[in-house]
Amino acid sequence: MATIVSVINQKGGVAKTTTSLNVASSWAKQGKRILLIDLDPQSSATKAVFGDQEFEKTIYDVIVNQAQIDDVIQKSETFGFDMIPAEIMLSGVDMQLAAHFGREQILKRKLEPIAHRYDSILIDCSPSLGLMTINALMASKDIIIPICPEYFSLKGIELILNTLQNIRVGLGYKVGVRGVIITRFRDRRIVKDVIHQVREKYDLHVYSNYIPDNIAVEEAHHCHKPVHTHAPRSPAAQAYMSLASELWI
Amino acid sequence: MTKSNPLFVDSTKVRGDVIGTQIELRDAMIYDDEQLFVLVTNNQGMTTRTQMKVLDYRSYEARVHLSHQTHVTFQFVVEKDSKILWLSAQHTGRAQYAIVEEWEPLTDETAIAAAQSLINKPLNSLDHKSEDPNAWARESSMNVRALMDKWGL
Repeated sequence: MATIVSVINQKGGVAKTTTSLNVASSWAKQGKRILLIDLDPQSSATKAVFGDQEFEKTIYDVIVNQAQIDDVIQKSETFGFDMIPAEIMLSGVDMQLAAHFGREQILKRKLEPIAHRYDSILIDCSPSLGLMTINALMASKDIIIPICPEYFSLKGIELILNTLQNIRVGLGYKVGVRGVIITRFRDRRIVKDVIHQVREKYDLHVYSNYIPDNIAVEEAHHCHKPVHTHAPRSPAAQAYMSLASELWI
Repeated sequence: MTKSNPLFVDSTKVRGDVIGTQIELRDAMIYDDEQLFVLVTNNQGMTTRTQMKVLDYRSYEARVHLSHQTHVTFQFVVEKDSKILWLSAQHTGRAQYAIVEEWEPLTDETAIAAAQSLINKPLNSLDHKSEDPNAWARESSMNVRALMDKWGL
């Protein structure tokens, strides 16, 4: 049975999608059976993997019960994992499901029949707090929080921890925090101070493989490839491969 | 009452459905010969007194059944030999799946005396097996008997 993990930070621009794609691809390269779900209406992960390819059915259709989950799973040979694409229609789903019974656990129920086929299911969340983010958290055993080490990222962590507490109190489900991934790392004193604060103030595990600020990551997106394929010797590719191993333990 | 975000309200429950609520008290320290209780007053004004068990280092827990989303008040009490040693302020909130509070004792003698009067009420046992399993059936049959008598059946 797959372990379901959400990659989440309610702050934007912290490399959630980049982290999801490259960790998922690194796991796949290590022989793991991986499903990546794009749950962001901006569909950045979908576009990074499949470019401008259009999909008739996406995760939106599954959520609103217009498609079976098996019908929306796409295989990416380049990245080595299965993926469920997203589309902009997801942005209106909160209104559509406002009066739906059990609306916060739709994704969890939809994933149940396919979870046994994968070793891990990774969910790339949108940088907002809406019904889809709640669905991702209710479906997940744990979350991973990517942060750029800066002041606003600390505020982002506070928001997430608050959201997890609200889910526990209001919906009766406890989601674990697996750890914090440092992205776009630069060797500056302020950066080290922020990392120190994450450890001390929030008592969260910080993964030891920091992802350096590296142009190879952006180039890889442009070529629709994982960074370990596009630039295998780049510092970012090596960091993501090591991070993937660290995350799996 | 605190603000309520509808995103964090269980859509599978209507207001008033009975749910199990986990009450946790953090940063509390009691000695071996002392007991920690939580006094919960539900929306109908009924107060139950439940002993809290150790959850973690300096953390205690109790599970009570409450009506979903209704207004409740609760208070933590440290007792020794049925005498109140310490008492927290009275907290208010909605009945949800978890209530987590930090231990902050009061030293108000009047409040302690008021809470002391509740001590003689029977404990709301954590062990459901100790409840009389036939009580509900007995009560129901009495109701049926009363109706049959009333209607001359």
